[in-house]
Amino acid sequence: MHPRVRPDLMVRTVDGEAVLLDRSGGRVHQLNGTASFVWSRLDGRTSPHDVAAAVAEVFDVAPETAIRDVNALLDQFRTLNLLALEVPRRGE
Amino acid sequence: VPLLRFLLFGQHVTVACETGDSAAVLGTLYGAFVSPEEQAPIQPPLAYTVGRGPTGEFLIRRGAEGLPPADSTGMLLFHFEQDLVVELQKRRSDLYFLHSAVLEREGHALLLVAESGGGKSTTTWGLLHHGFRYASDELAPIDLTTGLVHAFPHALCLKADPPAPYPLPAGVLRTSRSWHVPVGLLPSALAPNPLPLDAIVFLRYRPDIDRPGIRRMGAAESTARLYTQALNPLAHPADGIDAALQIVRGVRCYGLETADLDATCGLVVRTLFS
Repeated sequence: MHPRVRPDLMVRTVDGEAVLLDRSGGRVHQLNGTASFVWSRLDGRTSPHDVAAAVAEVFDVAPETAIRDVNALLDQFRTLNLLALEVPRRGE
Repeated sequence: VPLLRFLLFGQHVTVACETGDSAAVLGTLYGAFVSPEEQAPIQPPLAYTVGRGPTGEFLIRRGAEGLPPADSTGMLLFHFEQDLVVELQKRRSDLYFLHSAVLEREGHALLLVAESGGGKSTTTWGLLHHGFRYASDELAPIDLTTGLVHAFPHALCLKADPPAPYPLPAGVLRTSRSWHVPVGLLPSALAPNPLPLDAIVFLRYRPDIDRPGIRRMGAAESTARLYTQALNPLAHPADGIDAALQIVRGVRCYGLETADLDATCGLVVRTLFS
């Protein structure tokens, strides 16, 4: 599945770091630079594998490290209810 | 009936006290806001009365609306100020109200932001012995157009006696809930009002650590932490998140883990003014 950020969140990015305002959840979140980079690619069209590949390239980390970190981050986003409902794409 | 007249953020407030003890207590707490009679409008926008009920409880009314009865002086102050601050937010919704202490040094404001019990008032009391002047220990309304911080110099409110070497003076008002230091008993003068903002320090009380620590914070983290202490964010566009971002931009922001009060004060002064 290709994760997508919740469209109702209010997002502001400053100095490469995102601030997420979740009105319905009553929370405000701050993402560090790496998490903000991942967040910006969760468009519902990009797979976690492709996001990890971009992380590996930009942050100069090993691909296996990048996919592990991206998956851990996606788990956190899901736990915090920051992602839109994920619908399996055809063939997934 | 003693009539107290206050002026807060351009809003006139009157309190008709049907008993002398409530007048004395409220006069002590809000002495810095006293407004000369000739400046008061004929019909003030906020009119309170404070009386006593049949069992001796304090009865507070704003206009015709009753507030919860208060069975002690401490509860009287609690209910009165809680209502007053909410009403002021309604009437000055253009201001961005923060739950924050405000201190002044060299003509600029320092905000001490923390959750309740996070050490704002105790740290404020300590810093008043280190060249800072008092503007507020609880409320920081910010004018988003000018960037100026308004003062709310009610009596400094502590929940316990501060540690040495910062003892409280004689004359402090002690209630069942808290201690109140009238502005006339503070170790420094009141700050000018309003003030341009220079720095924000986010406090976290850490009784488990031996020495305080301070670190520079980025704009995103500062925005998120400031937003959690905004009292009326929804009164502003984009639910107030842009206002929080606007406030932290262009000022220095720090995260401070407080420990020993004397060491904490020294660290703040060295960090901000060295």
